[in-house]
Amino acid sequence: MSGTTMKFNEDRRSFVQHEFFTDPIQNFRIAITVHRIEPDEFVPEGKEPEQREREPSPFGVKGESGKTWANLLSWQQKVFCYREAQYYSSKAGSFDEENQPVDNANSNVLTEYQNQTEGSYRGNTIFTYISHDSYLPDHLTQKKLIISSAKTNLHRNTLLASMEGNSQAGMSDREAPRQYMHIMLAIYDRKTETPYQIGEEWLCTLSLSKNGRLDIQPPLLPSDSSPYSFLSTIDGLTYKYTIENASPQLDQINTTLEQQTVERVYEQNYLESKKVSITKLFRQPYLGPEDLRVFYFLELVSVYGFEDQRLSANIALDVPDNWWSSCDPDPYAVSTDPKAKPEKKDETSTHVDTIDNLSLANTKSLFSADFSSTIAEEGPGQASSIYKSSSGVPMHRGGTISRSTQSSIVKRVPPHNIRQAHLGFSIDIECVCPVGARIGEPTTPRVYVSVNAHRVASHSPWRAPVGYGWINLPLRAGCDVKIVPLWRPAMDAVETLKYQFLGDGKRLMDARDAAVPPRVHPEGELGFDEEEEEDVGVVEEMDENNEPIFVENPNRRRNVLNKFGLETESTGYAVLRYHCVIQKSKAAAASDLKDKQHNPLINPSSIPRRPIHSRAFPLPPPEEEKVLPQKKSVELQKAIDRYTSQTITLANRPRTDTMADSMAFLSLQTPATHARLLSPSTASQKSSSPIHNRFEFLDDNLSSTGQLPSQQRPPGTPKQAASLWQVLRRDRPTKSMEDTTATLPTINDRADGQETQSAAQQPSQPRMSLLEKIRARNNKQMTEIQGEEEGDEEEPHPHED
Amino acid sequence: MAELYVIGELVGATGFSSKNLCCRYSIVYGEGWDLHSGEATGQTQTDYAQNEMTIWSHPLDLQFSLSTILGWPKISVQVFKIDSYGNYDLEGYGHIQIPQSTGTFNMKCVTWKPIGSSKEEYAQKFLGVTPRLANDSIISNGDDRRFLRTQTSGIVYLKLGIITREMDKYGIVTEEQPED
Amino acid sequence: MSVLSAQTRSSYSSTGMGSFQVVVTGTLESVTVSGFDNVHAHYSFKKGSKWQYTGGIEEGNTQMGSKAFSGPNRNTIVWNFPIEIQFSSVSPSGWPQLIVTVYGLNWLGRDIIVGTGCVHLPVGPGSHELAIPLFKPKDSSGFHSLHSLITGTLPEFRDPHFASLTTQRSVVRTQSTGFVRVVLNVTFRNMNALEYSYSGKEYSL
Repeated sequence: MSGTTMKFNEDRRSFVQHEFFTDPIQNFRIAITVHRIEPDEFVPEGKEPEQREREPSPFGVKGESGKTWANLLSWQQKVFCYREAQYYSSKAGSFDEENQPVDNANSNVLTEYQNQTEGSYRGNTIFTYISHDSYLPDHLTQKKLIISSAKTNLHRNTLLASMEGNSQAGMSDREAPRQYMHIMLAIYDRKTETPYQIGEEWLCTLSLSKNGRLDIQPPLLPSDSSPYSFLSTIDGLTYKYTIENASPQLDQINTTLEQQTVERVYEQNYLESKKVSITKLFRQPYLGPEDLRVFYFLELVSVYGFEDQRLSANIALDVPDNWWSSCDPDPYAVSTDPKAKPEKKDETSTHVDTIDNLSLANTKSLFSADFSSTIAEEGPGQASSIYKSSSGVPMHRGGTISRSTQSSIVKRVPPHNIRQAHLGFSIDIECVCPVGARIGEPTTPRVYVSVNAHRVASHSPWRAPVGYGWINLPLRAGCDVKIVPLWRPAMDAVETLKYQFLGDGKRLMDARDAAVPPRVHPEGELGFDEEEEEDVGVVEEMDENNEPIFVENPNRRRNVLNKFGLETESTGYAVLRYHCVIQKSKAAAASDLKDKQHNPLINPSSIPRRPIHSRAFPLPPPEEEKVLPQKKSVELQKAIDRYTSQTITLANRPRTDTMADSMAFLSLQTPATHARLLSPSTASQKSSSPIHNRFEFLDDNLSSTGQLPSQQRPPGTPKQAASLWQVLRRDRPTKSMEDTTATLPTINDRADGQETQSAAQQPSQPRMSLLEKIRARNNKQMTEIQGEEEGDEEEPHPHED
Repeated sequence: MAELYVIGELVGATGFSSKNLCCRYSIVYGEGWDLHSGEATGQTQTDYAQNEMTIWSHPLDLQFSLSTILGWPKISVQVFKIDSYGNYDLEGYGHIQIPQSTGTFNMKCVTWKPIGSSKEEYAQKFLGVTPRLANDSIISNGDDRRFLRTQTSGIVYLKLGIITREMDKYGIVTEEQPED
Repeated sequence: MSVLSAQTRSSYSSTGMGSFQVVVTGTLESVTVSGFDNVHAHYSFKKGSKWQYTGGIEEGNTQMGSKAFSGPNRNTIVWNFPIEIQFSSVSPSGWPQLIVTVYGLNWLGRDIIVGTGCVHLPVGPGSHELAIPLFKPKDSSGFHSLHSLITGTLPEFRDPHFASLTTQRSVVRTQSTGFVRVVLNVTFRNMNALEYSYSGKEYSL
């Protein structure tokens, strides 16, 4: 601050500070210091100050001196000025105690002061007006709301005064009552012998709302900032002042106490918010490490776009057969259920010749009867099912829920004003999607809708359904609204007349024919059937790089869904709203949580977090390098193929990547490991890396080397090839691998000694999805098997029996 | 144990045969769920609408704790109209699933009202007595609705904000996150 | 508890480590209502018992706004009044509600209530546009409406926070008037550490 600065900071004084103090307002102290700069002491910069007796400036500015006043005020502390002192002294005794209690009290206090100081009390220079003063100068009450001089309709002193007659209503609450305190400065006339007050200047206003908010105008100054200053219009002098918070601070003992209280309050707050959840445990029935428990909440909201007056719908939710659910067993099962719904035969639908019936109750699934000791058998409602619903009901594979809604009369409803029928029908389902169902060609549950039209006064539909439709429910958590377009089989002229007058029409034999008829090869299985090796194709020639070329058999039998010949016409739409919730297994949840903690992006809070979770269940130790699979010996492969009755070997079966992946899954599905899968508790304890991939878990248990996985993985290796073709074209791997399959008790009797991992195949990758990992692992294996088979001529090529 | 907070409003309704409506709502949830704060049933004020939408703006603030996902709560609403004589009459039943994902949801709950026999229909036209359901559980549970004959009614608007707690601790995913 | 200096925000007690903060800034933009030329509004918040204010202004009165003379939005009266508030709490139960009461001058020049409305603050971070529908109590009979017209004593809610109540509403008859447009930007702090999941997405289902 320089002595020459004569800025008038009026604009700073119009700011308001809003604070919610946690302390009681009685503890609040405000220290105000005012310095009056006397004009004849103003010294231009560079000149010597005159040697005069004067009070130095409290603001430490050279050359500025004058009179200084200071005061420490608390909330609603009444300090009198000279004028008030005179006023009350002169009128002492004349105030009525009942009608003017404040004035009376004031005059009593002042009389007291006068008595104490023997009549020389002249009031304070810094004084206050508080809430219950009966006198408040005009300039403090009239708030300047508008800039122009034009008046608004609202020119009353108290904003929005209550109307007569409405006194009971809350009108007086419009302006919430506030307590205020104004700090003022008395201006004295210095020219006389005994200065008397000629005016007052406003310094500061504080007001407290009923919610505990304190408004301070102008704001409290931090200790090192420049003071407020203004030019008084009364005596023409410049005044500078500071306002500071002078509330008493804590001493050391209380600070410690406060710290302890904070800790206690933190505990209390946290427990308070958690107390609702302590009583019950969340139900987490068994789920394999990679399995998902999927909940669908469906609502068939409405149907629209039909000409008929009254509509109802039949809705069916079909769970694929490699999923598990607790709903009714499929009434449409072709092989088992003799009481399938009798529908009229529909001659016009055409399908491809049905392949061997890989229908719902087959035995070719992964959990087949060979592992009967621990695995559930086929068929619905088996009590030994490994999956149970949240309410304890054992689940079975597949399943269908089939319901009929009420019939509803159509109406035009705003806002769109289209004719719609409100059905408002909801279905909730819980199912389990095992990890095997997500490999290969995954299918998800499917919703079939068929809409019927009704006569006005009957219960049963009098016509064929006026619309068929279906959608796949995606395996994706979230919610969505789907508009399902519906169609019905088209009719020629005669049939249309029959439909109009007699009410009969074409209908599908099975409502599921709208999608994929179950007589056709279902997609729920692994997507392939028994084909001889020659039917697929042969590896015939070598191209210029001496690499095999796969030639596909042009006569190969394919799976084709052929609906050509079915004529349909579009009718209306159904509005389907669904929510999907996915629940992962305990182990997957734990590893996800641990990832979240380490990733600062997900958990941005910087306040150290109490490790509550560590008490709930132990988190896996920090993530180590992933272990890629060891090479599987050919013997193992042979044994596995025997179990799964597949005729194709990996090398000659490059149909799709997903095919290879599913085979890979099969190949690792040994009885011993499968038994281990069923005890998830041991799994989570034994693994030294987060259980993200089932295969990692297997390898950890199979490893006999005793080495930590991290020691086997050199860093900085290139990324794995993603497709089988690329793998087949690569260089042959070296044969320096350790044997890690030696611990398999029943299958492997040959020690290979070639199972160490080569550096070229050990990429250090970030976390991959399950499918990618399986592919990577699988590709490595096939390379190794390929390499080994090519180099090992006397080894007979494994064929199935 | 996981918690679910539902914070929102029953905003209003359109599309009914009268604009002077009130609404009774109730929250239906499965076993394994507990309602810790908030009211499970309530009734809004009766609003005489001047514009096309009847406004209730009835606040909902519910806190659940759950031990199973099935049984996620549903709100079932019953809309009543008031006539010039001050009589209340049923205008529609509907229910809606409380969403599972977090965020703000502007939901439309479609409603329907039951139709009786033709005699009852005549009675309704002249006397204004709408048949009502004997058992309110049919509103949110669809298993027994096959033989019910209903008429389409209006739409009730709700605005629900969802906050969950500790869902990921139990491995529950309610919305897909973008791939990292 | 203790005494702290006014310059430091208190980081203890309810704003401490067991609680999260919700910061809301925005504007009370405008009201769309017919039949009134000059309106102003009063806003306040209603919150559950576990919530506390930690900053901002919790109540306010707008200026008196007047209708535009011409143009397409003649029924929209603009205030653009700032709203700034910060809360802290241990639990989302009792989420704060914004209550807006709109007053105006009717054709006789009397200051009457145009409507009151209430909306929960958004439960997800981000920018949200809210439309608060307004309603006012309805006269209980035809005679009463005539009477109130003549004497200027229109019915008004006794409790200024009526719009935020959940009980006692069933016996009230109201009449909806216009709606108020509010734009709010919401930020959360510390909610993830307390294991709450939230999202700023808005869906229409």
